[in-house]
Amino acid sequence: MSKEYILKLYITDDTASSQAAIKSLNGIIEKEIRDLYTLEIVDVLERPEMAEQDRILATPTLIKVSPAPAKRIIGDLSDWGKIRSGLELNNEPKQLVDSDKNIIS
Amino acid sequence: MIQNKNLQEIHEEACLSACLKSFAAMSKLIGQQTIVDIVNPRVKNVKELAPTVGLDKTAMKTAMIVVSLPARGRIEGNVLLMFSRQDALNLCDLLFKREPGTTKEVTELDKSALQELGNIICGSYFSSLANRVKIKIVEHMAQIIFDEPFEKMLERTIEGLAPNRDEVTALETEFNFSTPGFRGHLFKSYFLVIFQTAQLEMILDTLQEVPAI
Repeated sequence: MSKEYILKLYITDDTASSQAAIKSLNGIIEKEIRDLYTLEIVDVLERPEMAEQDRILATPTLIKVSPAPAKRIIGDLSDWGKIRSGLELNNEPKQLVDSDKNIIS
Repeated sequence: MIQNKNLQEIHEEACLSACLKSFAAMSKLIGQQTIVDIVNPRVKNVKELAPTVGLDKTAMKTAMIVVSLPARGRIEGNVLLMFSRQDALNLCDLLFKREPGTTKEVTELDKSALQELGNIICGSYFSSLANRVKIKIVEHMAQIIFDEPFEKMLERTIEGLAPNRDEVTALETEFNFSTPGFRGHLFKSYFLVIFQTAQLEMILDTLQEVPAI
């Protein structure tokens, strides 16, 4: 089954804001798009070149890589409304279709 | 001290705007991408204040390097941006594109660069705040203070604003940042804004009278 949402979360080390962002985001996506996402967590201290490539200015930054269009949410990730809007989860859950055209949700 | 939801939101917005603007400017200045970690801004009682810039329990007694930017006029306050001594030395390396660990003592030129950096960060905060609350904030000259314990400096700053601690409100956050030039290192700074409570209350009341657009 292919994953629908590809997300990238940029954080800095294990700062309080990083821990809060991970916890909060996990809570939201596990509830909203469970089993339909891939989340990559990137520590800018460990991988500065990746942050540079993605032009990260601040952490935490959540990037919705796909589905298009790509979107970014910078700063506080505790606001469910902001996350839902950024991930475009405002509409009714859409039916996802895998490569064999089977409806999977 | 005010515990006001509106004030918390205003402080959060000003911090976010200030850190994005000022660290973008810093990235240009040093020719490296600077990434700032946005720590949850807080409104606090002055009695509870203690900086967390990589310091231990003795933080209140520990000497720090501080850029102070006073504001006078309709609202009287002061912004303090604090670094541990080691991070101030690291910053000098960064600002002058020296190899990490080169600066052992701070020269007059280093002081001036640190002061300018503090001016950019503190000034961006005042500017964002002024736009948000629709008042003019008149900044005075930024000052750099070396090796003074936080506690002493805080006392002095409060004395300059109000006769006692109960008459001021503190807004704090941390601006922690990293750059590829100092791989694996997190620069930690503590950012504190102190205002006269009565003036702040008046401004917040005025804001509530104006309907949101």
